[in-house]
Amino acid sequence: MDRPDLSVSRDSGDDYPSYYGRPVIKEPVWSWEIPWYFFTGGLAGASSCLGFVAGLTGNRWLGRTARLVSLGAATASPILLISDLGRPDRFYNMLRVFKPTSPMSVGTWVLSSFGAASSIAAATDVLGILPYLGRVAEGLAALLGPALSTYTAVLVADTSVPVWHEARRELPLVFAGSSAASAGAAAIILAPAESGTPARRLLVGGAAVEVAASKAMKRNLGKLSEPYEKEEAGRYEKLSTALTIAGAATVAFAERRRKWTALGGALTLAGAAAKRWSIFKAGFQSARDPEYTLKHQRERLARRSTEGRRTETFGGNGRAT
Amino acid sequence: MLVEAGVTDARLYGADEEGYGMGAFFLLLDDPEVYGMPPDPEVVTRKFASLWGPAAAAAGAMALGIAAAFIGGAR
Repeated sequence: MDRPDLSVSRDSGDDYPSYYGRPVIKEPVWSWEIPWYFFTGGLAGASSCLGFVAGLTGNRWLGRTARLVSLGAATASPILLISDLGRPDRFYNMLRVFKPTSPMSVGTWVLSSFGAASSIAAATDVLGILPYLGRVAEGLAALLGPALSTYTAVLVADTSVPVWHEARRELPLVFAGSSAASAGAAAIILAPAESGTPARRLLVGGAAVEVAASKAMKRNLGKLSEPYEKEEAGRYEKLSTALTIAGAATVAFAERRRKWTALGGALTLAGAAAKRWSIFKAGFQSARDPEYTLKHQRERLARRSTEGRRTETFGGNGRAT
Repeated sequence: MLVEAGVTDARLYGADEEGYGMGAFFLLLDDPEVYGMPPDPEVVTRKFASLWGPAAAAAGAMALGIAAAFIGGAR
C-alpha cells in the first residue's frame, strides 16, 4: 500500500522545516509599561539598599535621598503594572494567591510589601517620627529590594521566548548591575555632592557589571544572541552600552563637580532604561521568527540523541534528530 | 498498524519523557515543525533551580556591591 501524502509543507524557503515560516510561539502580550516597570522596580530596589547602608554608616543626606527615590520609583511601579493590566482590581486579584513557581505572583507580593515598607521608611524619616518603626520598615525594604530588582529577569526568563529563557543564568546579573547603576545615578543627581561618593562608586561598579554581564550573556547565547543585535533591540542595545559607558566615565572623572556628575547620572539612567527596552524588544523579535525557536531546539535535540538519551519514535526509524 | 500500512516515520509527540510529559500528546506523521510545533518542547517553569538560583545570586551580589560602595569613606 502506498503511503498517502499527508505532509503539510516542509518548504518555507528556509533551510529548516517550519509551517510556512509561521512563528511557533506567540509574542508576549506585554505593552510599553513593562520595560519601564523593569526600570523603576530595579531603581526602587537598589535605592532602598543604598538608603539602608547610608543610614547605617551615618550618611544622612544620601540615606534620605535614596529613600525618597525608592519611594518614588516604588510608587510608579504598580501604576505601570496596573496600566498594563487594564484595571486596578486585576492587581488586587493577583494578591489573592501566592504561587512560588510563578514569578508574576512572587513579584506582586514582593512589590506590594516593598511598597508598603519603603513608604513607611521614607515617611518616618522625612517627618522625623517613630524612628524605631522607620528602621524596621527600612530593613525590610532593603531585604526585599534586591529581590525586586532581579525577579523581573526571572519573569522574562520563565517563558518559552528563546532569547529570554536561554539567558536565564545571566539576565538577573544584567538587571542587578543596571539597577545598582541607576540607584547610584539617581542619588548623584539628587543628593548634595559632598555626600555622594558612595553613590558615584556604586554607579561606576553597577555600570561595569551591566555591560560585562550583557556581553557574557550574548556570548553564551551564541546564535540566539542575534535578536539582541538587530532591529529595534539592537539599536537600544547599542544606545544602552554607549550611554552607560559614557555616563560611568563622566562620573568617574568628574569627582565632585556637580554639573558633570549630574550629567553622568542622567546618561547612566538613560542607559539602564535602554537596556531594559533592548531585552524586552529582543524577546518579541525572537518570538516572531520561527528560526530561533526551531533551530535552537533542533540542535538541542540532536545533542541529546547523540548523548544517547531519549528519542522514541513511533515506527522506530529514529527520525527525531 | 501504521507500520504495516507503510507509514514508517510517524511519531508520538509530547508523550511522557523522563518521568513527565506535557499533559497531552499527538500522533504525527512528519516532523513536528511541519505542523508548526516545536521539535523539542519543554515546560520552562520546571527549570526552577536554574531560574531562581541565578536571580538569588545576583540579588545577593547587588546587596554586597552596595555595601562595598561605602568602603573607603561613607561620604
